[in-house]
Amino acid sequence: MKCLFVSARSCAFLLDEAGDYYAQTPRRLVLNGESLGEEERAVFSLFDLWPDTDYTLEAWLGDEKETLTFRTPKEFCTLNVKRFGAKGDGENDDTAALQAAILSCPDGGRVLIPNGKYVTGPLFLKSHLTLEFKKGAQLLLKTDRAQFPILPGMTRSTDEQDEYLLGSWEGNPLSSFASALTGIGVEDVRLIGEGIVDGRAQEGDWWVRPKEMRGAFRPRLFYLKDCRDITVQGLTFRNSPAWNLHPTFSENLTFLNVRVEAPADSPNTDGFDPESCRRIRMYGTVFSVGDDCIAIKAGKIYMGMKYHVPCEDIEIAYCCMLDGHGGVTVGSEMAGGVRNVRVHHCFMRGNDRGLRIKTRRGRGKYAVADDIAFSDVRMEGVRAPLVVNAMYFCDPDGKTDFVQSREKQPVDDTTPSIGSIRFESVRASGCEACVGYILGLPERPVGQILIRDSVFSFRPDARPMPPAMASGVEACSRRGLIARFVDSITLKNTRFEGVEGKELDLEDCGKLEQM
Amino acid sequence: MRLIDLNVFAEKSAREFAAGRSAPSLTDAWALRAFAALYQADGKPQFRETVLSWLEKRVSRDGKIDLPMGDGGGYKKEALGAAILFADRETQDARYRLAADQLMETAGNIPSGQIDESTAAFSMEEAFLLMPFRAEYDARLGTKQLARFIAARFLSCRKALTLESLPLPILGLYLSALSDTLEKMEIQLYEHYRALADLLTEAAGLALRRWEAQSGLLDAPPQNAPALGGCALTAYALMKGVRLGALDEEKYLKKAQLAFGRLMDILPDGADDPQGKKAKYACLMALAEEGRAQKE
Repeated sequence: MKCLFVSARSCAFLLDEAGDYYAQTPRRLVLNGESLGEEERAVFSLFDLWPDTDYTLEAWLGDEKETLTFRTPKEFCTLNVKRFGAKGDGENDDTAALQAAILSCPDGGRVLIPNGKYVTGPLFLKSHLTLEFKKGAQLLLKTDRAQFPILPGMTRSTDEQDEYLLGSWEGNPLSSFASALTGIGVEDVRLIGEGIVDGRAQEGDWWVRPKEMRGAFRPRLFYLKDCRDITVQGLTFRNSPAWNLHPTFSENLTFLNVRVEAPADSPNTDGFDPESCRRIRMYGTVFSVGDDCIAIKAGKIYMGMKYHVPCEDIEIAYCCMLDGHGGVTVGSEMAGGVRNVRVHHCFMRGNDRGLRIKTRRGRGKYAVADDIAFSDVRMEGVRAPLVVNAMYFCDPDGKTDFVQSREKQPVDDTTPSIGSIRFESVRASGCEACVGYILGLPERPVGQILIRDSVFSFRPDARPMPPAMASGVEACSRRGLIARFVDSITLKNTRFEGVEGKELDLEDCGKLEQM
Repeated sequence: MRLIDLNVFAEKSAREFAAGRSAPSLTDAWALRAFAALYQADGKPQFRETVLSWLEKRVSRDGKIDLPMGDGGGYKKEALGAAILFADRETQDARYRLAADQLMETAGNIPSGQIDESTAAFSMEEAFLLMPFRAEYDARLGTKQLARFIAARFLSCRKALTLESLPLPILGLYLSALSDTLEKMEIQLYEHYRALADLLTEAAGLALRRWEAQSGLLDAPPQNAPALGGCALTAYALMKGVRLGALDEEKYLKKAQLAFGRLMDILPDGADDPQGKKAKYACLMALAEEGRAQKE
């Protein structure tokens, strides 16, 4: 057992290193002598702790126990939002009261949202505080876009030589409505508790004609710009107007036991989209959304070429990705590069694709996806476990010849690249389309694909699906590994079960090593 | 001239244009742009009808544009593209979509190569008349493949524009071409959109510095039609750039409105030559943009 996080009022632990989202075997928990019942998750959180207090946590498996002691840090004071006038009755507009409490909180203090339904517009965070949602506390986002402030995308400096970027939409600095919880340049913030942030998008018009920009682009539920040392623990985010959690240009971010939910047919409700961020740790989080569960991004070409800030040093572990288009996706906006990504001990079920890397010509020379590894991942009913697509037909010009041509194009400042991708100890059952579909660029093939110690099996009634979203990719079912324009493919101790036809369908590929 | 007189002047111009019997010419494209802009500014049906009735007589049901157009230049009917797309948006009449498709067959070939001072005059009028059409068609009806070429074409002018010897009217054409094209560009093809926005900022700063250095426009109005038209287009473009959020309001709007005010004191009424007519229509476009600035 390992302690992952301690705050004045909460903590989080890794119970079973060998599990995935679930521990291999549940444990009985006892805290300071009080039984907490059985815990089946590999990563769990405890709330309602007291500051500046010693705790002893025991995890029992039969007669064997593991013990861990920890001390909660001090807390200066608590500001209860109801003392600022928040009603929490599901009708009153509590925006001003909630915002006042946040802005008034002293360093090291805590803003407490008690049980209740708080109708609110976008709220802005401040540094050095804890915002705690008690169980039953819900932020209900307003549904009328006319009541949302707008974050301008780009504002020129007075001397017109520089720019200040604030709003963001799909990798470009474009005006967007402020999100339910927004942090601009804040640090040392903890958002904790068993509460809910509900975007209520289905009650407004956010999901109606979603591609149209009306006033500004759609808000997220949680948006960070230039922040550091932020932890989100235990909260549930649901029904976002667009992406759910969207930190940008931020570092040292931790997400523990968060839930992200949106209907399967909701538009662009990605679960977690870190963009040009560093050092992210995400543990024990559950996703069930209408688009990619996790999509690691680094902007489109303007941002990539001007700032080239990669998204790097990312660990996603003991998480659960249900449904959604992709379990963990890289791109397609990755113009600043994505590297050093570790996805391990996760459980994916029902996604269209497990690991999905998508890019395209035009993302730029800094758009390098490299050193991305999946290990100890269990997939059930993931239709295509591994998809790498360098001709993803996104954006207004996505289906043009420039993006889709299979002929070698000149390598220039707009050409992206994909380096090393590794799949190790992946167990995928109930696959449908294929084991993997890799489509590089003829002028810049994918570097290296390594699959080892893995087993892939198909469901007998597999339904055809186009494995990659590129022009000319036909639907298929029960295919093996299909690859085009890849430099090196290595398969070690790996089995494909139930494939119809060739296990390996390779074209314009370099070295193949099988053992 | 007071604003109310300017509006009367605009309505009179529309009536004259509608009743006009002279042979079709390139200045008609300028007129249609001006009246469409006036309609978008204040919603007066007269301006909308002026554009639509002119086009209805000349665009057949199968989208053929039946009129020769002179005044030199290689663009001829393509110059009507922006007006045709206006009619398409306003009426959803299939003839205008067909006409736009046909115009794009030639207008879709965007010239490449550097523009220097010797080619600037022609190239800038080409940009003013055709680029907004190309951008709108590409973004709204086409495949969005042209944005990069549109941006590249404007970028090829950059060196010529910084020449002190470049006549201000040409700079005005370029600024208007930029602002009108920016309005129609697909903003999510941001790298190309942003390239135009940056050019507009640079060119706007250049125009202001030249205005102030010459202490021409802001103290006394220009004395000939091309200069008048160029200054009107510059004022128009600066006001529009502010409205689009591409130019700083505090830096540009007041000066643009001041310049507009000076121009309106010497509106070229009754001008029959092409330059005079273009100047008049440029002033009407500036009037439209001033009206929108006043509302906001």
